This record gives sequence, structure tokens and C-alpha cells, in this order.
Amino acid sequence: MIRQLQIANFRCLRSVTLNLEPLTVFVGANASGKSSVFAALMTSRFVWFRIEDIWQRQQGLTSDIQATDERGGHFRRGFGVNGFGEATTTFPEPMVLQLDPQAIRTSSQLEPMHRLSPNGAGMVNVFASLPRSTRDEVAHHYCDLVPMFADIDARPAGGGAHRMVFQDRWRPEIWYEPNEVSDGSMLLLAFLLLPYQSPAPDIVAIEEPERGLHPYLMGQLIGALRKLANGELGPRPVQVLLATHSAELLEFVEPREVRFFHRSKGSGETVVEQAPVDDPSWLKSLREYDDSLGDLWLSGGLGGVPGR
Amino acid sequence: MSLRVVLYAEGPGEDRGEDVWLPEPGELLPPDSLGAAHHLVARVIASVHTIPTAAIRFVSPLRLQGRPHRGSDLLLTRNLRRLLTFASPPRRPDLAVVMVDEDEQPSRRKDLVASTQDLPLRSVVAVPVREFEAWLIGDHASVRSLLGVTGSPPAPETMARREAKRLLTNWMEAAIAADSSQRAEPRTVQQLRAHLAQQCDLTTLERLAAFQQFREDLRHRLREHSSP
Repeated sequence: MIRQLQIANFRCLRSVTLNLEPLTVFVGANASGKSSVFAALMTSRFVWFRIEDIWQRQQGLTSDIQATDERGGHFRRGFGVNGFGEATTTFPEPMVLQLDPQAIRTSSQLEPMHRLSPNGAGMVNVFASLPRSTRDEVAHHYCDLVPMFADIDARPAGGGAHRMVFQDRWRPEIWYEPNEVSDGSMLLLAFLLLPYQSPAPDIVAIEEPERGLHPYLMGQLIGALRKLANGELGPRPVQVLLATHSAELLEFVEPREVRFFHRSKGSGETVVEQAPVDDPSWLKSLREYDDSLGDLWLSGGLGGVPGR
Repeated sequence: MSLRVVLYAEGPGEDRGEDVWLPEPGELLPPDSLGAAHHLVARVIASVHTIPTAAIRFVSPLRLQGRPHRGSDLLLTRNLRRLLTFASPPRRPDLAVVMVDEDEQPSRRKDLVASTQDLPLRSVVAVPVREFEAWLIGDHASVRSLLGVTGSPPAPETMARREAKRLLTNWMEAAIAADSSQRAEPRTVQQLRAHLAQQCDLTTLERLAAFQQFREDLRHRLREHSSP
């Protein structure tokens, strides 16, 4: 698990140090740099770099991404537009998900697939590749959360392809096609598959996990992701990073797990702050907001909100 | 030395101007976001403290569940306390001024002070009688010179509720109508209110009990600010 991430000269991240938890939530205005952190993690997979990836597109600069894990291990990627400079051989392996409900719905050619793709395309293969008992487990959990359905399955779609189908709770003979199922319901299924990926990534970073989800389900989702992060679900702990604009989501996490992003008015660089949980007045502030971290964030007093 | 102040007033004509898209809470407000109440409060602070008006920096106010506050929020203890709670120390202003109309509720100032006095942020509650506009028209000389008003209106604090508001609105409309025949660019309501707040004679306003109270409260609070 990455304990600390230091990023320099990468996109809008001129000099950022992030302390990370097993589950960490990034909040901030649009274009405040949350996704750039995810992109920085993905540089371990970059083959080459573009000038657009360098702070203010300055030719002579070198981007530098360093990570320290909980055992004191140190990882580093340094690069300029001409290629890599210093780099350790290994870097924690991230999976960045920007799930697209339409991609998730699409039928896929039948093939073994053990990990979700970044936009969720081929999810049906991930589901179908699971052992029967695990599929039943996922289906049971899913139908518990979306009780309009009694079961889910992967069924042939013709031409060697297949797709997910969803059984009506009251009329068992009716199986719904993916295009009849809501975006949120499709995305939720993808989230439930995360613990069963093989091999498990070191880090899962998810953009806007709240999309399409009823606020009541937010607690269930965060609960599942927390289990994933703690190693209670899946073969080993998977660090979870979330980028969100949801105040409701913040109600289900601890203040110490949240990072507030904004851009410096002077330089435009991303600035990341943590809630001042060690400040003696912090608890009083939270109390004024009836212990609602979401409301406190929306007040703007913690940062991570847009402004002129 | 500067003094960071957050102002909560009831209406957009008093505290925000017409532009409701403000900087992040705790960030400095640009000059075009300042309303009549900002100008008047800055002058009153400068009159009771050694700090010059230019060193008084107004910061963007907190929001409630993401929305700008409404006048009624200032009368709800829970919401007012939230608006005075800046959770991040670097964003916290030095002083908060809450300005609400008296609206024939004589205990309003006392009630609001009682409900917020234990908060860490120093605050002053201003309660113009019956309303803020009474202060804007309190110095008749500046009203005459800026709006071209003739005759003498009744004493502001003896007016019925909404009377000062109505009078000022009528006078500003007349001034703007006169502008359109005399000036290339007629002044706006916001400009006229701001000019009144910037030009009125504070000594004249001292005759208004509520204004005097506000000035005394500010003097007291700022003395605390100056002391180590």
C-alpha cells in the first residue's frame, strides 16, 4: 500500500505530496487535479511521454513521481519528454477505472477475462470467467442491493458473443437486457466484481463512483470498497482511491480519509489539503455541522470547492 | 497588518452585489463583489480602529449545503452558527459581521448575540432599525448630493418597517431616470447604494441608536483583536 505519493511537474501537479490511507477520497472542483493524480499513477504503464504531461508544458522540466509504501519501500518514475530518466524497476500496479455504462452493457465475444477494462467493456466476460460459486455470490450480493432483480446471468447474444441479463423479481420468466437496466445498476455490478479480479491490482482508483447510485447505496458501496481495501474481500488488500463530487459519499468515510483539492490562485498549481483533524477546534466545527462531513465540505470552509 | 472580515447580510443588494458567483469561501472578495454593506462596514471599522480601510479584506462567505445563504438563514440559530464556523484555520477570517434588519423585533440583536457568542470566530451583530436602508439614508446631505432629493424625510429610526426601503427605492429610480437624460451612462442601483455607503457621514449616523450600538460593538471586538 502506498503511504505517501510525491508528484512533481506532472500536468497541474507542480509539487504535491499526498498521504494516503487504505481508502482515500479526493474531492475538489472540476479541473482541480484529482484525475491527474490517477494519471500520474498510470505513468508506470506509459511507453512515452508528451509535452502535455509536463507542468505548464515546459520543455526542460522533468516530471517525477515517487511513492513510499507502508514497509518503507520506495518507488520512483522520473521522465522528460525525451523519455525516462531515473526509474525503479517496479511500481505499485494501479487500475484506474472510468466506467462507462454503455461500454459495460455492450455484448462481448466470449473469452476468459479476469480483470475489468478501464471503461468496463467486457464486464460480462469477467463475470462469466468466475467460478460458479463466486458468480452466485456476486449475484446474491447484487440482488440484495438491487432487489428488483432475483438473479443475474451471462447469456449468449449470437455470433459467439454474450451479454449480462437480469431476472425480474416478480415475473421470473422475464430477463432484462442490459439496455433495459439503469446506468447505476450496471455500474454497481462492476464495483461488486472488483474483489474477484485476478491477479488483483495493488491500487484501484475510481472516478465518480457515485454516478447513478441512489444515496442509500453509497454506504453499501463504501462498505464493500473498505473491505476490499482492508483485505476482507479478495485475496489481499487493494488500496482504494476515489475521486468524487458527492457530499453523500463523504458521510460514509472518516475525515482523515479525505483530501481536498484546489488550484492555487497565484500559480495554478494543484494544492492538496487534509481536514485539520488535529486542530483543537476541528471537532467543534464538525459538531456545528451535526457531524456531517458532507455538509461541512459543502460549506466551503475546508476547501475543495469551486470558486471564481 | 490586515483584517480579514466576512460579512453576512440579508440581501444581495447589501452584501454580494449582483454577482453571486464568488471565490471559494475564505478567499478574498474582488472589489466588484462588494456591496453597500461592505463599504459601510469597512468605514465603520476604520473609524473605530487604527487599521486603514484599504487593509480591511473581505473574504467570501461560507455556504449552506453548497448554496449561498439567504436572509432567513441568519435568523436560524443552527444555520447562522454554521455560517460562522470556518473549519480550516487558514481560511478563518479575523472577524464576522452579521447584519440583519430589526423588522420590529426589538430583541433580535440580543438573541443573535446570545446564540453565537460561544463560537471561536469573533463576531458582531448589526441590527439596523428598522432596516439597512435607514442607515443609507441617515445622512440626508449625502442623499441630497448623490440622488438630488429635496425636502427632509422623517428621522430614519422612526419610520415604519419597509418605509426607508421604499423611500430609497423611489429616490434611486428618480435619480436613474434623471441620469438617462443627463449622463451617457446612467448609474445603477448597486452603484448608488455603494456610493451612499461610501459617502455618508458617519458622525451623522451616530445619531441612530442602532448604528451607535454597532459601532460600539465593533470597537469592543476589535480591541480584543488588537490585544495579544
